[in-house]
Amino acid sequence: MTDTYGVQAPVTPSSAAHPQTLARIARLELRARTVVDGMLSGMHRSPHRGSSVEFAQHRDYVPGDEIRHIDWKVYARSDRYHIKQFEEETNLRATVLLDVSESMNYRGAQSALSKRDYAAVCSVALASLLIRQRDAVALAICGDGVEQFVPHSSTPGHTRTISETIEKAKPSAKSNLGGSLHDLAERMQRRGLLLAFSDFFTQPEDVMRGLQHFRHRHHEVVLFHVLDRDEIEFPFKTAATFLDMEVESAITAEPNALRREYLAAFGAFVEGLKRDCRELGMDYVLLRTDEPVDTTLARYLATRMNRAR
Amino acid sequence: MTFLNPVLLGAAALISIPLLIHLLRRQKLPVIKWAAMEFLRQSQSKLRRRVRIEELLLLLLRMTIIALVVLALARPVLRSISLPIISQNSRVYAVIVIDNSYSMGQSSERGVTAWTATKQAVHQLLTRILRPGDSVSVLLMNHTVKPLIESPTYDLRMADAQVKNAPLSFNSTDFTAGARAALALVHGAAAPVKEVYFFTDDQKSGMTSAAGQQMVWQQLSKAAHIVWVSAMSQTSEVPNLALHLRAPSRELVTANLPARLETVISNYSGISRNITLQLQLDGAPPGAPQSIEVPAYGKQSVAFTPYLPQPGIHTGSISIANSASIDGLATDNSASFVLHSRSNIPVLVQDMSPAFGGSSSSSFYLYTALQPDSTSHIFAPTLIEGRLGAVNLSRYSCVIITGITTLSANEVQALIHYVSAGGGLLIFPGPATNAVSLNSLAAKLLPAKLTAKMTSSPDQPLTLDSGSITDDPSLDIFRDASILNIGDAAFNTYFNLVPSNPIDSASAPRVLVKFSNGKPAVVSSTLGLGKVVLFASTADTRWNNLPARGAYLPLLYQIVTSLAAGPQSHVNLALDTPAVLSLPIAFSGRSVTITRPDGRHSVIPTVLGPNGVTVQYSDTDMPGIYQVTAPGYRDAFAVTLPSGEGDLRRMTNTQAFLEQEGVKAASITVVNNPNQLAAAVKLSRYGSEIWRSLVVAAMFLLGVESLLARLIGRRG
Repeated sequence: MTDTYGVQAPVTPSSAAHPQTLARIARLELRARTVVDGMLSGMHRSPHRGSSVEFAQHRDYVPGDEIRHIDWKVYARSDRYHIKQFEEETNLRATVLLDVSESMNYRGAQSALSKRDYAAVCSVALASLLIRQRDAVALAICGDGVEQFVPHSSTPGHTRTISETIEKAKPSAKSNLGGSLHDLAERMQRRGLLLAFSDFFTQPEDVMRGLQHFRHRHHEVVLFHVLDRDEIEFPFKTAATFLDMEVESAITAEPNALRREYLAAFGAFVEGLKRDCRELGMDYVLLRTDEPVDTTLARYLATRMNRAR
Repeated sequence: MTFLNPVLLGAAALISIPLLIHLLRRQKLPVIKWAAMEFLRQSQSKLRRRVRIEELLLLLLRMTIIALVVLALARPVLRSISLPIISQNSRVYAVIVIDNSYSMGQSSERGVTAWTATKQAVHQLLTRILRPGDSVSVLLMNHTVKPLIESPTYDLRMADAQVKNAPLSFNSTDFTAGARAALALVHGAAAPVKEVYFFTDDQKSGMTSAAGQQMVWQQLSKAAHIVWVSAMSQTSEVPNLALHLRAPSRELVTANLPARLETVISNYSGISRNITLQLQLDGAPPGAPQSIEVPAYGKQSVAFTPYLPQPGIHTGSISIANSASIDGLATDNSASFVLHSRSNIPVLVQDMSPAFGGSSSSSFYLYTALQPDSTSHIFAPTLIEGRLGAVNLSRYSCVIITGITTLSANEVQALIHYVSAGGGLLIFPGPATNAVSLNSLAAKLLPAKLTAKMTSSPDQPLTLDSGSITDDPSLDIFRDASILNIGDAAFNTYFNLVPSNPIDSASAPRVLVKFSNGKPAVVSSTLGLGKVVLFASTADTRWNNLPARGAYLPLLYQIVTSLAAGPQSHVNLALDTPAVLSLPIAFSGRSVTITRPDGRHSVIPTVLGPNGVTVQYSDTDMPGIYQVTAPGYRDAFAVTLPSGEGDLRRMTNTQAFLEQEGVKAASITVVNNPNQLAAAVKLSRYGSEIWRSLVVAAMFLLGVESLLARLIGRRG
């Protein structure tokens, strides 16, 4: 991916990309741009640029597509907007999966952004980077299923389309990530890259089966495991009633007494996920919502670049 | 189990505090919307059981701690093993021994006297602690014990009323006397539970070391439970000054023979005091007061030697003039006395073995001593030689027989009559003494038998042992050999005197002085109202050189004046000693009025007996002057306080003190504050307090709770 992303490791992370700074920026697109600008300020562009002019297919127009790509002839015939797509138009077809289940809305007392907001910034930032390199990026909003899908596009305005779609997406009361993955795998005909942003708080077996589906089709998969500091460290001191964000259930517990068991169970879950990723040849990236976004992403990208060399 | 503070059991409601905290904490839990619920569920299911047990354990621990503290405050008492369980409702026989010695008149810290505080405590015992069906006996204890209620009574109200009216005595304390009397009562009692209550001021001097004392206390503690109630809860000592007047060495004086009034001033305080003493004689001070420095916890003797030129009866007192503010007890600051004065003392000197040649005569030294020159008007001696014949002995205050040979039956009869009526007889043996005849004929008269005539080696002559002088006021001045030494006279021959068997204890012969070998030198006995004194050696220099020594004259004066005082020899009496007064024969069949120091009068009829006309008065329980009057007659006698009772120092640890006497700790309950009597009695009846154990257990559980809470993370 080094050549694809065309970026090199940042020299230093930008303080502008710190979650507390980002939280003060209302628009997601601006947040993402802040992150990307920060990252790019320490990078130089790759000399490789992919291009193609061979027509490949038509597809429906979606808001954000450049008007110049509308096939006016088709419009004259069918009175519908179609976009002309070309072979080798992009170097890569990446699909960003964003989990919008209710659990992603958790924001700890020490965190400036909820998991969903943090994942959104990351996903839009990555999408922006990819689009800048003319890679096609699609977006899948997943909850109980694939609730919204923005097809692949590499047009400069696609970033805005993605960010607006994310902003408008409503949280899903339920989570069916496994089903969503299967659905998405079916939609992606050509080899590509799946960037999955989720806390993966669902049945691990279902998730793994969905991901295997992707691997089976030779897609590259990167799991961005978005977690809040509270979930990792369980820092609560006083007894409290913990209310499930997705289903009607509650647990009253003494955190001090529960911490050891909780951390053990949670650690086992994370390790299991990492292990499964390793076994399936997928990348696992932990995104802590209390860490600067660009740092986390840059660290991951640097790791990938080193690996590619 | 019973409780000494059952009211505090109400605090058991505090047990609900942990419960409330427990419930409140549950109600006020914050709500956290949480995403990673699955992991909490997994943890919770593992922990749920453990947490519940731990919480319950903590709850129980906290409730137990509070329950233990509440129980400890209520002072629970476990019934002792030694008492049967039924004893709680058993009938109690209580012997109440009340110390009414005059030291009980001291002020306690609550502004009342110890006597008042004691009466209040006894009232509490009779009205609140003892229950209907319990029986009591009440004893008033001082140096003797007087039963106020001897036979056990169930009428506790009546007992209370009697105690309220009980008088304070002027006697000293003797705890053992009280213990002995109480023991006699509880021995015969059939009640299942016996208790002996001592109400006292804890005076240390009251615990004398009499023979058999330990056995009395041991037996009493086995027979009953002893409850010792101190009326003095304060810890500081009460300072006190005390004046004790010794019995005058002569109660009969003449115009030229001064009285000698010796007082002992005791300073029962930690600071040396300058004491001023004032003598009052017939209502007026005869001279300036005397001052003396008495060291802390020390004693000093002060003697007054007034002359009484006016014949008749003289009364007076000696008192401490500056006792204010340092004195805990006013009763013992003064003492009264009575003295008789005559123009002279007629003495008959009978020389039964006269010799020619002046100084070789047995009577020479006696007569010369009694009338050394013509100006001396102390004695009016009359000398007769040979037999008594028809001499009217009643004209003489004292008869001295020197060089006694033997006595005829008539002479013996006349002398017995004379002495019984109050006369004094002094007998000296001589070389011509027929001891066998004398012992046989005069056995009733003589205080001792004259047995073998003893001779000591000229190299090692016998002397008189001043240390052996008995407690006789007339000989008190010879105790200190540095002033008057009777021990420098040498005796080579003497009769071995064997004191006669007494008819009764009152007439028991007393050895007044012994020789250095321990044999009796001077023996006396009473006979009727008079007294007989027998010397073992001669009154001249044939068997000893006493007449040539400086002590001869004062020794003779003291003995003769003492004998001459006759029936008046007891006008200065110790407390509770019966007064026996001899009256002229004309008062036969009449009565005399005796006025006590408190102003009360008693009319006592005279009695005509073998000793003549006498009046006996036993109610001498108050110090001071008792006036005896009848138409044409006036006399008086004085009663003095016993010494030692003014020492108000208390036993510092009564419990330990009684344990030294052999009383088991479990058999005593010492109550240092009368207000705590009820609680202490409950404790003594039902066993031992366990509040200390409860506090220790609560502290231990508190530690366990703290540790457990920290371990299981409940402190958050």
